[in-house]
Amino acid sequence: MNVDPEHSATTRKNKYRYCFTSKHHGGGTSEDAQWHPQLSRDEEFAVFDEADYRDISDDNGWFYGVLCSEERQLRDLGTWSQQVAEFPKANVGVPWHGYPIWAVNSDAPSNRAGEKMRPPKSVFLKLETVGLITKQQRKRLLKGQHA
Amino acid sequence: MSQDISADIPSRRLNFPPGFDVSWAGPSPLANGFCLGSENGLLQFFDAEFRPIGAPFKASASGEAINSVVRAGTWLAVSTRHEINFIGKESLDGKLGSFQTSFGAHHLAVTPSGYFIAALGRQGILFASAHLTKGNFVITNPGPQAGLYVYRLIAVPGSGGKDLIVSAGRTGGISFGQWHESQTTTKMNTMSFAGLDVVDVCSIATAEHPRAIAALGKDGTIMLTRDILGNEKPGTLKFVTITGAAYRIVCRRGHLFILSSHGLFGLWNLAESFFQGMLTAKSETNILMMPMEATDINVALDHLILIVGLDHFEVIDVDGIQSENGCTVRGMPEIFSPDWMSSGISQTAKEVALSA
Repeated sequence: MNVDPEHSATTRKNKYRYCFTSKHHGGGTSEDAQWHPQLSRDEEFAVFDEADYRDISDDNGWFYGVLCSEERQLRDLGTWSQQVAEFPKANVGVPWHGYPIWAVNSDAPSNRAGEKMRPPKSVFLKLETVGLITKQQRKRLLKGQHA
Repeated sequence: MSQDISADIPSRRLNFPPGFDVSWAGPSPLANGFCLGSENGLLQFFDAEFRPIGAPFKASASGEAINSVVRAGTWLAVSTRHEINFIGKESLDGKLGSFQTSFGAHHLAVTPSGYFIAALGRQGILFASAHLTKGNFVITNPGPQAGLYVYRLIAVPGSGGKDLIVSAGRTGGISFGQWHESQTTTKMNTMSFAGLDVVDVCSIATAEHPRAIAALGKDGTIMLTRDILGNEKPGTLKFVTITGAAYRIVCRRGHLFILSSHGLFGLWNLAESFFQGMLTAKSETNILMMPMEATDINVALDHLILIVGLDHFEVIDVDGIQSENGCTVRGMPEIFSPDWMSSGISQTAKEVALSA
């Protein structure tokens, strides 16, 4: 049985473990979001670590993160130019994982109808408040456009 | 009224109304005037003198930020990242008459034949009749299996009475195809080269070149073609003066306007120079530079550019700008000859339900 590789470090704040799921690293289906191949595993972990450190979370305890270039531009995290990553809350003792999140809502199955958009607006405000994104970038991301 | 951009550029600045953080500004789909969409899903119409018409109303069922507003027939379509809202005239008059999709869109447009089209990202393009009462069905062309991504789109008259849809497909390049409501299969052609990330497209059509298109790369690369259906490889160029992450490209009076994270750049007569074959690595272009933090631009009333700022919006009048003024620098383009690759993707239509 294949086990998804785990990062050697834990997060600075909560000592969370993090694994790189094959589903979002070249495996999975065309429906599954994929991390950008030019993003290193250390960079992917850094997105998660910063989200945990700054508590960029929603009401369900899911974390969200971004990665800036040296020019303060948001880097693409996913193969379809996604610039935000989502980390669903893991059970206690289980490593976390994450994936780039689509900028717009895809066709939702009927059992998800009425579900709120993720990440919620409050997450973008948190990202701006802690200085991970600018107001200009927040306003662009909020309407499903690149920043 | 103020002239914060520059005394040389006729402009008008309006602060956002209290409680109305503007996310989108464009021409009014109902009358001769303007329309603003807010970050919490409200819509407000204005007349041509920027006087509000009525009160703001909730146009997004989810309350998400509005990113596009268009009209076909008696229906408005308003998109957000969460859903597309179709609002009938009855609804605007206070009666029930609205529907939503269960998916969001990056951008909306209307075809010459009167169909709504929406950029659904990896789900492809949505085509929706302006007669939404019949069964409440819309048609999409799903594309994820083929690697197509639809980010922004325009529609111009094609050949044989068809609509020609052109879209910015991010790393998938520029995609285009002809469409008619009788089609069940649509062939989308794509053009791309390594490293390209197309974020916007606009028409640069003239009477002589009705299918001329400009496309914009996120790094500021500009691609120009006289006929997107022809065999010509797009002219590909870049100006070092255009910096930041490129967001939008629009064309008015033969001038191209590019919005980036660093500001608005006006490339004077660039489309015209391209058509005349005068655009070379040694040709100089007057570049109007307006540093600003803006998030979107659109054209209204044919000659006005509406700019969505961080806490205000600004309107500049293209007709009042002199080609050389205090904001203008002269720049020569870098001309590229990338290894363009072409491919075709056939898409089969499917129907999806709307919810009331």
